[in-house]
Amino acid sequence: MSSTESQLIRSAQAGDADAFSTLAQGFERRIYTLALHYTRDPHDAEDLTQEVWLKAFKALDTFRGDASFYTWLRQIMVNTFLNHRRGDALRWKEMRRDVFEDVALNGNDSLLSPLNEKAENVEEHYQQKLLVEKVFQALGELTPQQRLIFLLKHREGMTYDEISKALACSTGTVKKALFRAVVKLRQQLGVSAAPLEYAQCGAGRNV
Amino acid sequence: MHDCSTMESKLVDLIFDELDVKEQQRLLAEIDNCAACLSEYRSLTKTMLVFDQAVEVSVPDESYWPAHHEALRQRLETLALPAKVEREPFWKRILLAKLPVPVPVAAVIVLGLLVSSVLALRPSTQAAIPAASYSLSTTSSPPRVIEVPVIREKVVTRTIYVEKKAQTNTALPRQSPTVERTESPLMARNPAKIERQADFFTRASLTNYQPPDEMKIRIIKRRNSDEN
Repeated sequence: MSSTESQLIRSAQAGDADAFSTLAQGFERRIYTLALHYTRDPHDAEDLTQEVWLKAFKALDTFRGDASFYTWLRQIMVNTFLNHRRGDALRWKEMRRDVFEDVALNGNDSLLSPLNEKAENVEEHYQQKLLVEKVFQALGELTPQQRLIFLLKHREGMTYDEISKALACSTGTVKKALFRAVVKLRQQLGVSAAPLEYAQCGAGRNV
Repeated sequence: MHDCSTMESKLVDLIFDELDVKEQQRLLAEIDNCAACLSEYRSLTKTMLVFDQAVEVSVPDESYWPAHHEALRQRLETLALPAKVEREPFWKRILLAKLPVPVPVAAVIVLGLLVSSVLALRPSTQAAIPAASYSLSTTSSPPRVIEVPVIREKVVTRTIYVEKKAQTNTALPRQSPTVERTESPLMARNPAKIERQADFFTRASLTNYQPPDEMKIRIIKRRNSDEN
């Protein structure tokens, strides 16, 4: 933890919202991106991110500096994500259908904004949206816990042990959730699965 | 010995970098010798690559973050605002304080205050008790309690007074042997009153008294308070 970060934390603990805002600036992209992939909706992700930060600000007195600030913040994030109940499957299915229709017919992609505008032409842009759509759909097939496990592992780089402690589950559950997540993604993204002979040997079966 | 059925867990470890370098190399060499496991490993790895591409695309543009940060800053300021508000003086806070109390509780409190104020305004008969108890407690020996039976008895004495004028009318001598003067304790205490009453009334015994044909008797009942 840098001295600047420590100073900001002390100021924020004294009630300085500006200091906390500056502190948050270093992590807000990371938190938002994770929230976006967890909720699969930009507006929900925005709400969830704000909720995480507000909870962190209120609970800042409990931060003792035993672990890094981000480790402490991540636990708040995990708890907040798991308690988040807004993104239900039904709404997601309706939104997915609307996106396909809007993008295909009108070129209207406002629902997925603020996705980036890296694509140089409409065709590439469309392909990107579809790819994101497929990935989000695959993530939507997972339970919230499986989805969070996958994101914490792949995006956050947490170990099995850290994830199992954060979510209060076994490492076996973590590994199964990861394999299931990858298989679902493979299925949704159209990546060719293992040949038949491999499936017969058992390693490629669904969990 | 390679066993494809045990590869699921190992592939997960491999994909998500849970193995040390030595174990990773050993497993990759093992997979390389099995076409099925190699194919599975490649398909899973490719899936992760595609996922990463999608993640990269889904991350908002740079123009998004200033607004995102500003929204967060405003929320935090709103949250921290009550702590920053300058506090009013103590006396003003006391005067303007609002205490949310349920109506039944408030009613009980008001009733209690009324009752206690009424009790406080009543003349207290127990005020002397502490002094008495103090005097008792100062004696060397404990107070002895003697129970005395109290007989409430009311003696009603009816005295008939005869007006002096009436006596004179009936020619009854004043110092008649039947007339006797009795001295009550009250009379003994107040001789002047006796004399005054003697001038006006004469106590008479009605034994062997023969009332005349016309006689007006006036019976005066004394009240208990007259004896005090």
